[in-house]
Amino acid sequence: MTEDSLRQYPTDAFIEAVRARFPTEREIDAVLTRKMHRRNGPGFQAVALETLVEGTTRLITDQVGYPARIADARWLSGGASKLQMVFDLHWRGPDGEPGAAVVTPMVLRMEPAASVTESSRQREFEVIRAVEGTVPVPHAYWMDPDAHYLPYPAMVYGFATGTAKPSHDAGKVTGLGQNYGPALRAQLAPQFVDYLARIHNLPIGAPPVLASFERPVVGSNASVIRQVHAARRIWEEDRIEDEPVMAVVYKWLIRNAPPIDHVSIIHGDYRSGNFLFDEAQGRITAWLDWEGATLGDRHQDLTYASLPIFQHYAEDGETILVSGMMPEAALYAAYEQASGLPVDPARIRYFGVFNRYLVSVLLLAASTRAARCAATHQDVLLNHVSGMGYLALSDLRAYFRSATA
Amino acid sequence: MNQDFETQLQVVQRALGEVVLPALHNADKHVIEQLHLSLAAIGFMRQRLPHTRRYYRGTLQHYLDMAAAIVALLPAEAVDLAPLASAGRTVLDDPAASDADLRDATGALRAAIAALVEAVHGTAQENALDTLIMDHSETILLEDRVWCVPLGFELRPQDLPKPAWDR
Repeated sequence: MTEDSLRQYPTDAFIEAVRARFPTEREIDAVLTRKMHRRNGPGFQAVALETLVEGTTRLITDQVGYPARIADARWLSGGASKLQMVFDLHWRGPDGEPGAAVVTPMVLRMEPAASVTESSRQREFEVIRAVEGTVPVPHAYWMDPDAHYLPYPAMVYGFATGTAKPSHDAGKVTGLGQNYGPALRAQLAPQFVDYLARIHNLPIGAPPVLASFERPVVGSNASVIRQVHAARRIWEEDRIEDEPVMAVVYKWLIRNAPPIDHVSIIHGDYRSGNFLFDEAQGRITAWLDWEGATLGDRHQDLTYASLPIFQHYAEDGETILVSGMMPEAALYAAYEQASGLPVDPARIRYFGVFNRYLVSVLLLAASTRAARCAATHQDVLLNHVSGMGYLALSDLRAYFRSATA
Repeated sequence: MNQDFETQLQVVQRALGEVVLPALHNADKHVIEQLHLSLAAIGFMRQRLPHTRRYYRGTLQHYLDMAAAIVALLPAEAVDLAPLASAGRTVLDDPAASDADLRDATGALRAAIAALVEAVHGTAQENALDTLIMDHSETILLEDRVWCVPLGFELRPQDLPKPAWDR
């Protein structure tokens, strides 16, 4: 068996060996293991809208305890990883008053057979519930984490209004080099910083809040190492070919993992393109894509938002704007002021390397493997974004050299 | 044979872009997006197909250079790398070698070098090997980036160096 075919058709021994080498959080382990077992099963079959309507109706009816009805179901575009269906739910509303007739627009969010970011619906559901009221998010209503009702694990949340792209720049793959323009940027940038500060300062309650998230310990780097292991595990499971630079960086990430100084909810994908906004009012209306959320170090989100793949040049042709918002140094300064939490240059360097490593894994390994396995509804999109992989890897190499000089 | 790949891709690109796409103006957004991305994939192939062999040969040459430098640096530790480098050289020198042969030889070197990075972990040679790999990878990765320029992700593609396979 070649290295590639072993990953395309993984044996139980291969799956278990990788699990043992790179221990990570229990829920992440379960998700990644399920991905590998699925790979030997039937390929992804296009799912009919009617199938989703039927499964979602059963899910909701079981949850609310009376027959609910779905109307005007249609596909929702956007995003590279999940199947989404928008619909109107005819039900009695959140209070369930008999005789009440409420129509609520909602979204079903379901995994395909594989994804650029293999993730847990359970965790996504829990973290949206945890941040609701602190930042604008659609309300998370119900979930089907074990695919009891639907073909794959799924959740249902409220439909959030707003757009992810400004009307003058709507052609881009969401969030990649997104240019909001000077006027909109001036309105959105302070909110972008403020919401990040709020998320990171949110107290983390005891379980059952965020029950499927393992709690990092202040003063320990064990949770950081678990995250590095998770990324490396995806590299081992999904890569098309090995890459010496990735091997060098992995060792450094393990050896230099910093202890946590403050435990925050980490969005994990905090950037342009992952929020909706009202273009007329210049107001962020919802933060989306919480599937990569974790508990950890705030510098992870700060450096992720600053990654080159989410940057573009300002109108002067010289100033680089991170996530289409502001220069990197300005982001960190504004964040310190908004959050009251210090930004540590050493941790910025570490998580700058970590996020570049992670993105290289997701682009060169996860995206490419999912497209090659014909495992999603968006193979052509995953194949396209995998073309950023060498940009990411080249940037990782250069950043690593400067960070470790 | 006049059924060249360039023409095949050109006719598909025109049919999809000039006939199918305008007819889909009422389609769902994700349908239009998938068509645009399909056109991007075809456009990428049209631009890069003529350079494929030189690109694969150039990449193999780079890894042979890296392997030679590693063998010189760590002759005892890189004992498994030397025969792979020799086999790779044979492939590169063989005019009948296929593109798959070139890619397989390159992949074998990449895997062996990555394995060596782990094998020397914690030894006195580790830092020198890691530095060598990072130095040699700069040109390789820049050329890989240039290869992907038609996909449109580079902020300033004009600032990238002209790769050997395009000279």
